[in-house]
Amino acid sequence: MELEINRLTKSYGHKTAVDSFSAAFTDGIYALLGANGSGKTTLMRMVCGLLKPTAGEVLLDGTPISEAGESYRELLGYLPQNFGYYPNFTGWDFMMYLAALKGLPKFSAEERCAELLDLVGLHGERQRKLKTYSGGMLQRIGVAQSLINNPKILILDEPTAGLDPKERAKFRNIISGLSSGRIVILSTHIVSDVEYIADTVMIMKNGQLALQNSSAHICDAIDGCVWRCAVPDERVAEVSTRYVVSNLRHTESEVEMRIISAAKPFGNAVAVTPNLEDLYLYFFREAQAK
Amino acid sequence: MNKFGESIVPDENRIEQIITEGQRYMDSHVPQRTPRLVLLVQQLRYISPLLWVTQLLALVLLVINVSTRAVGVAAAREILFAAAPLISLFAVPELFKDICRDMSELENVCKNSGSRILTMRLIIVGGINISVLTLLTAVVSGSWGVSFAALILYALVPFNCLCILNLLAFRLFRIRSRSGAAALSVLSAAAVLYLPAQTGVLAKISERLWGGIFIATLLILIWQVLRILRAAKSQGVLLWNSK
Repeated sequence: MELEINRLTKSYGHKTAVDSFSAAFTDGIYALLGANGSGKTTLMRMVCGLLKPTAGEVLLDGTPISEAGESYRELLGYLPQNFGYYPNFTGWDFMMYLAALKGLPKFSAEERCAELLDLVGLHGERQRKLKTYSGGMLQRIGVAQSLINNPKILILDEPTAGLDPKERAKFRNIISGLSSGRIVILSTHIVSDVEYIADTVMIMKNGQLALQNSSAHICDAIDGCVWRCAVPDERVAEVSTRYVVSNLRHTESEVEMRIISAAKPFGNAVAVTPNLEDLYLYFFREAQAK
Repeated sequence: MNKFGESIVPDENRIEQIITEGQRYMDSHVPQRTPRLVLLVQQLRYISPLLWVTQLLALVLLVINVSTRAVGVAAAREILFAAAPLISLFAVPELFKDICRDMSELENVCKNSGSRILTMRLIIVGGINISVLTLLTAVVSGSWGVSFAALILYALVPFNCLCILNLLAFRLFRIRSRSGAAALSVLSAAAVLYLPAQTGVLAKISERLWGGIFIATLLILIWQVLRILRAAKSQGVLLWNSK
């Protein structure tokens, strides 16, 4: 199965949210990394068929998804960035309601919903009204609903937002376990989520695909651009305004800084191996500066 | 008995397990299309209690009015004209509740398309409203001995008008919130009630003209509904892609 995004563009008046985005996806976990407002959500909505692109198309095995319709949605699981619920829904109602809309017969819907609620640790809370759920619980039930139809294409928009570290780790394990035989696309700006589970990392900036590589090699793009150096305490403020600083650590007499810069910032600076956080800061330094 | 003549006791747990696995296999491999009736019942189950409450309230108010007011055709028409906006007060908000409750994205990526779900809601909400309007008219007609045909138009015209106004405003203002939907509905109902109260139009317009107005508003309403359904189908989904 191949999902192909072909020069996808979405404009709102003069503003272009997604600009000629092209990519191909086969089985595996793809992480779409980008700052807020970089166009991730708009792209995901178009991939789900929720938004009509201004130009370009999304193809599943060569067929435009707009033509595939129901047969495409049958393969699709989606967790939106923000979602609501009907006020009187319990966790169980919510799952069963969506299972019905996804076309699951009652027999397997009950079994599947119980299984998924158990997976996300909400089986014991299934009879509680959703309005009493915490943000993390709502996010977990959101993840559960996206899996109801055992989707071959799973699209998760900021899936770990609102989850505590323990829940995030659990979520990562769930997604890793689901990766075989399906396309998982998740958008996030939380770098640590991507580091652990993604096979491929895609950096999205200003609506365009700025960089794409396997998670093992994505940082190669900024090899030789990350430096570690010791700076006297009084110069920290000045250095911080001149360079993108990904980390600083106070030692007894100096401050050890991790600087992202194409050129060597100081004579005593030592090049270090870049990580995904450095890469993120390298690409979104303007956003950080703002 | 096996081929060696030994008797075998079937393991019931194993049989049950095989049946369950077979059932699961069938469910997951045979494409299922939810039958219309099942989808209709599903949607009916989740109709907002507020919609039911307004229907009941209208019925109670009507019964009180009928039992306390003096018998007369004009009074009967006034009562029905006032009851219709109350009945249809939450019809359009109920139709677009997925948008107002932020459920539209979840619902529209499901196998059963957004337009299919919208159609089901239209049938349910429309069905409830029309049934209750018919019931109210029958109550007034039966209690006061006024012809049913002479009364029903005075319930249907305001109903049509309120739905037209609401549908128009929902699309025009791209309503996405519960409070916005409720406010809009109340304003539309007030507008529908205000005009006849101020102008005395109920008494001035002939029954034949009411018939004409009914047909005109019905046609506009049908056109609006078809337009919304077409938009839901062709836009792939969100009726108003404001975000």
